[in-house]
Amino acid sequence: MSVPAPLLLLPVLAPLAAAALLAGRARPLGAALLVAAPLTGVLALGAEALGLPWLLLGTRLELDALGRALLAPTVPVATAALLAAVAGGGRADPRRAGLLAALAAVMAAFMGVLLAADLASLYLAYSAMTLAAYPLVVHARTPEAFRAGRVYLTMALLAEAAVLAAVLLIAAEAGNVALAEAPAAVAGHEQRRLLVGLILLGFAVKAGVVPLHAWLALAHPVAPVPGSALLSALLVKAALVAWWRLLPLGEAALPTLGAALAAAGLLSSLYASLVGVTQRRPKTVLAYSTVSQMGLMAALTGLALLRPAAAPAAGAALAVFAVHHGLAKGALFLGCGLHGRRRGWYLLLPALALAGAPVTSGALAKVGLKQVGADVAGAALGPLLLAVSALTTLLLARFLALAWRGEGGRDPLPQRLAVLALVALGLVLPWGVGWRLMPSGVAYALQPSALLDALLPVLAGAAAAAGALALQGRVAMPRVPEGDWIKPALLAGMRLRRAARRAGRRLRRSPALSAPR
Amino acid sequence: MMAAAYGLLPLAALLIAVATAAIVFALGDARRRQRTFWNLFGAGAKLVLVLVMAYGVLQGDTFEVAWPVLPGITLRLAADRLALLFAVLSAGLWLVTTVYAIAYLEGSGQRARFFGFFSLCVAATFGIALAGNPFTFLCFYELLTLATYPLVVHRGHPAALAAGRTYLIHTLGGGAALLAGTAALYAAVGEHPYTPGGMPAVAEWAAQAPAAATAVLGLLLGGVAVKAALFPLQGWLPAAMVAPAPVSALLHAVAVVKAGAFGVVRIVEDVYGHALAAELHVTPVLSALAAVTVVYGSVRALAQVDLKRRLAFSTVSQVSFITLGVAVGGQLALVGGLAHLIHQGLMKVTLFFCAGNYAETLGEHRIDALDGAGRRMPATSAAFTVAALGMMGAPPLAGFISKWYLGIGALGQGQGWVVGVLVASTLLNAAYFLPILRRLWLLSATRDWPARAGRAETHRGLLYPPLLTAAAVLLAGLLAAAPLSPLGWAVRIVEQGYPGL
Amino acid sequence: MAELGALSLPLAFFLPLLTALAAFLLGARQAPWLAGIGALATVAAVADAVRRVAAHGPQAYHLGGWAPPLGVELYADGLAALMLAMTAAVALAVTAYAGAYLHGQGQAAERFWPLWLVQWAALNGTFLSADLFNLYVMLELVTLTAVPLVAMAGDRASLGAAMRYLLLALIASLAYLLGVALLYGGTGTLHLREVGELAGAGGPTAVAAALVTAGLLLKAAIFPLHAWLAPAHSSAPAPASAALSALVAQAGVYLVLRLWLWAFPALLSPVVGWGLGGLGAASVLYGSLQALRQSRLKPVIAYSTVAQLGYPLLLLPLAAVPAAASQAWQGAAYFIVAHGLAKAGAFLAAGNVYYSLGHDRLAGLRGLAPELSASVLALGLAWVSLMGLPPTAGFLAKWQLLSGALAGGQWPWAVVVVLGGLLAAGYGFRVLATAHAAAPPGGPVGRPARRLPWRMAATPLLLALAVYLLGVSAVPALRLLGQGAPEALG
Repeated sequence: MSVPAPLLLLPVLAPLAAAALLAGRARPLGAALLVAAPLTGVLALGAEALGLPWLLLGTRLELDALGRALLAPTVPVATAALLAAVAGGGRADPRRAGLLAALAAVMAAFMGVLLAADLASLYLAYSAMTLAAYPLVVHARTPEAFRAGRVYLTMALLAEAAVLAAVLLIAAEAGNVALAEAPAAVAGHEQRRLLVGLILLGFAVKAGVVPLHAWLALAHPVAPVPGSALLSALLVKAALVAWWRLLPLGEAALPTLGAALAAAGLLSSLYASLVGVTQRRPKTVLAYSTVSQMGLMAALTGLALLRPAAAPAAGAALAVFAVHHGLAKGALFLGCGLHGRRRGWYLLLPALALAGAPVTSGALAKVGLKQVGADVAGAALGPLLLAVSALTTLLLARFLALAWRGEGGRDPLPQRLAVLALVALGLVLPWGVGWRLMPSGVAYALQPSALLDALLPVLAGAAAAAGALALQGRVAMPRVPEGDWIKPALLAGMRLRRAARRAGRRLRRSPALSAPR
Repeated sequence: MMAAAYGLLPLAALLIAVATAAIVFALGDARRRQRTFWNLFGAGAKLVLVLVMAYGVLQGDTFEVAWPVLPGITLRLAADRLALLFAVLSAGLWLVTTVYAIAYLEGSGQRARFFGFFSLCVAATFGIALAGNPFTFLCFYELLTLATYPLVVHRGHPAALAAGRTYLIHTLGGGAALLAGTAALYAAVGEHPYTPGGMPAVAEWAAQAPAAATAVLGLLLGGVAVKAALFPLQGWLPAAMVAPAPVSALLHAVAVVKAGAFGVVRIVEDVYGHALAAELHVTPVLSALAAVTVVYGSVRALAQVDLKRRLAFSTVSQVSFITLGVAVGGQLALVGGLAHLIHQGLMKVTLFFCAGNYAETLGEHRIDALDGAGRRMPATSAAFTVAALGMMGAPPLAGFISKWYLGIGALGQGQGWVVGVLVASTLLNAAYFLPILRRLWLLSATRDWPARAGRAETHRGLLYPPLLTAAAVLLAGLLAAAPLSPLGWAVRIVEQGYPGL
Repeated sequence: MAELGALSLPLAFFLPLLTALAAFLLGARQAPWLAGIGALATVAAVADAVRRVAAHGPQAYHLGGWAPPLGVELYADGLAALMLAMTAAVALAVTAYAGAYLHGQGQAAERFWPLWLVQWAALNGTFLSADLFNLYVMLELVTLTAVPLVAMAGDRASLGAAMRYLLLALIASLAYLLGVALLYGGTGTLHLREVGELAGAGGPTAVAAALVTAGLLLKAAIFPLHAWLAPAHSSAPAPASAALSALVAQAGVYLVLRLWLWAFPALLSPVVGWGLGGLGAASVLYGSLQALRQSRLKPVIAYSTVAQLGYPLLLLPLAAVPAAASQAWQGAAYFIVAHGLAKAGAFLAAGNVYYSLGHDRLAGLRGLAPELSASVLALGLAWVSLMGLPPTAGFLAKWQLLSGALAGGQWPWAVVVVLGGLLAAGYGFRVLATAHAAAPPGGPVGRPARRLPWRMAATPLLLALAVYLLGVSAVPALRLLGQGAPEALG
């Protein structure tokens, strides 16, 4: 299948055109185009690279392997989320037009991230995505939303400062380099360690690596459902895309930084699951689950950085993991937007998948992770991964318990269909992608021993959940605020400022400093 | 005959602006239609002439007009690529600003005086752009001070007069330094035209008398640094905010600060040459000052509650990128600086137009009064948003291109600290622009604004100019790699003019 | 034939004189148009003289065919031609302006026209005189016509100022005459160039030079002999103020330069040069500071005259430095021209303000009537030249002075030039800012503005524009100046 190269622009331009129509008078047409816009991403699968030397600093659009794999969750999740936004509840929302425009912008920017094949374009798409996500976060316009937005934007912009520095460092040596050559350029860079450090740090905020995850836990609960779905299922993956395109994976070994990232990722995963269990809002629990899962993907990246030889396998495992997580998380968030009393049934399968139950996509994703982990770090990683899996199950059990019963009400058919479609695709697509990228893993995951392996932690987690249910009401759950450290930090900052002001006033009033008479 | 007239285009373009001023003065306050016609005609005709010259220079033609003013001293207008970079900016934005100003000042008094000096101001800017030697530059530089003063004090209230005083003290002081420096330069080496890479005579002189050469360079740069609002000489710029919005646009984007920055380029690159300036240890000082100004301006901007004042401090910060690009050295950084000359102009003119629109249409000057203005004035606010994001250096807007080249240029020169300045500037810009955008678009209005008079959100003469310049901000970034973009032109200047950097 | 060819020299002197006589005889009613015709004729004569000097070098004319030392020689070199031309331009403007200004003021007009025309003749005579005694006569004539012009308003302030002016001018004349007598005793000649050749650097010459110079410095109101100028120039009627500041006081400065460069070059040691230059510098600074403190428009302009008259003296310390002499000389001469035109323009514009509002208090100038906008524009334009900013003749003159000082390594004079410019900007913009200020609530103070005749509105504007015309290029004027200049300055 061959598609003319200029059509690569379509996934980016279509949502923008839809947003323009929505702002004008052709609203129904705009809405229709908006829902259809993500589908244009399919076209990109068959298109050649597109070079636009006159655009920006010489733009190149192309779909690399990771981008190709990520289209699998992107197209369905985005379509479903936009459909939910257009057709779902909230038609009475006075700010619906603004929401749709923001969704469109985020969508276009994320497609840009996937398609960008040169440094400047990647930076453009990535930073546009960062800014476009802000209106999603603050959509509710409540003080809580604005606080979440402020935290999000502050953290994201600080991170982007590191990204800018890294981009300039690369460009100073290689110009606006094609991303295919970027890892080599970084590997050969004069200041490689600094550069890699900046890249890791710069994208770690979006990837939600602990302790830079705080914004996720604040932003997801307050954002409207389609927004959270996009954020959690897709946007955070942009950081992974950037890492895999810029880091010298497979080119050079950076043991310290690689090990640090892998360790941070695994710790993130454990920590987020533990904190997530204490949360009381289903969307917050899901947010922590995202942090936990992203931690695993960050760990995969760290392992690849640690040992170049493992990079191809890690890349494949990461792609499968990302596809799996994107679809499952998309379905869960959109499911949270349903109101029906029996919405739990919509959520069950994706939750099981995330927990890594046998035969689900989650099991496949964990097989990839385990294989790479064993390859790089030996057997030491095994128990740790078991613990992670068990905690994940516990976390999702907590989520199901919180989210099972909707508050009641009828959901529009398109919205329900969107969720169902995502659930269905989640059962199939990861296996398809896995079949292409790591056939041996697929085969392994279906062996009985692997099935058993997958079942054990799930059972352990389920047992823990049952225990917790039995204890409910008798033992007080520790209360951890959303975004764990951020609230104390903000409070401390406020107190510090107040104290400083008071001290300043006292100093001015003190006789020692006042002018002699 | 035709050929001779073609060569005289620089003079013609200069005289058009002067003649427009004379006609407008002569018409007086009452004849509004005729004045509008002549204003637009003058601005349009000049833009056409400048574009013809730009096309000619692209084809390799030379334009030069020179006549002796004093024995051994000539007034020389020469159109090289660098000159046209600035001339196209000033002529283009003059037209836009004229349209805006006509609408803005509708119904206010003393318009003949205003538009007369407005034209003179642009004539002076054009002269600065095309000045072919330091003496000519000095002449037009001083003329610019004189022509802008009546605009700054246009409103005539005590605050305006006080601002005018501050403005004059700064600019005339700077002019005096420039005068002394130029005269000393001429006394030492005589007259030479601008020479890319530096005048050989200056290099010889500096070899014999390095201390004197350094002192003269200091005087020259000190003179232009005032208009370029380099720390600690930036005080006039925020004060001059009391002027009407079109004047602010002119001061900040087109004429005054640009004249200073352009002077820095000419002095460092074409009089001394960057190599010599670096050898005299002047460029490190200059780049350090520019860096301090970038950060200082942004930090001060954070604390402002008046929109125009915040924009003014933002100008202080942004204009210094041009100086920084020149001082850092190297082709790429210079490209960044020169491109920013245009980019900053487009962005800042847009921002001031928009600020003017809010003030004129809604009556709001304070940032915290703009809650929900995006709903009432979507087009204006969209233009403001584009320009503000450009200032932050967000791709694909013009400001990003400048920062990209400044950053990689500085890194290429082994001056990585500049990246730190760029990053800090980006963050600070975000910190003072994003809250405005938040108020415009995301908060809801709390005040009763006058209802729309017609279908447009404000007078069309106020609306189209910022939309046009905002589109230019977008295109200058989006099409940066195209050969005729500001960046492309800057690359051309540097590649052909300064191959030695 | 050569004698006949230079006939325009005597005409430049006699034409205004004859017109004055006719005006006196025919009375105030006929005077304006008579003066106009006389002025045009004089300008034509001056133009011819200038053309001749430019084309053929210095021109001499012996009155009645008698050669010196018995006869009177009229002599015009480049400097004299330049001064004649500047005087002609200012005088034409003053004549045109006065016609409208004095319209309907019978008695004043009756007195003004003869006085003014005689003064013009005497000024031309001063520039054309080639010997020291004729110079004395002409100078005296200038003074004696100037004093009644100051007193014309007839109130107490102007009478007092005129009286002070008269007394000091007489003392100055006496000093000058004494010096001339000493010189004649020493050299036996009064001819300028011969005095220069014969008088050595001996004691008597030095005393004579000191006396002559002191007299001239008083007439030129150089610090510390400036006290009379501001009251006199600011209480005279506008056309007279213009003539006094632009022409009369400048004639004194012109003579200082003329005598030191032609008659006493041997005496011009560095000490003397620095001394005289120092007085000039002091004038610049003191006059400017005083101008900053005035609360009325005309005194501001008058003190600015004190300041501006100091600049040409900066030539004297530089004249002996070969690297600096030529530029400084051109600068000083061009400065006198530029200052003359600009100052006349400024005083006439101030006259318009006074005429229209009935006062010239700075505080009362807020929100000037639109009728005055051309005058304010003229004032501003003229002031740009006084500040020494481009594109004016004043700028070119200062540039030459500055370049001379820097090339000669005497940077203190450069500092004075730059500082003087800044101070001029200071007192200039004080006025212009007030004029730009919005009207106070309740409209401008004082009686409603009186309509200006167009001739009064146009004249200062034209004078100011002339300064810009000369700012485009100084080359033709400086080429003229080179005719017959001493070799050291060529």
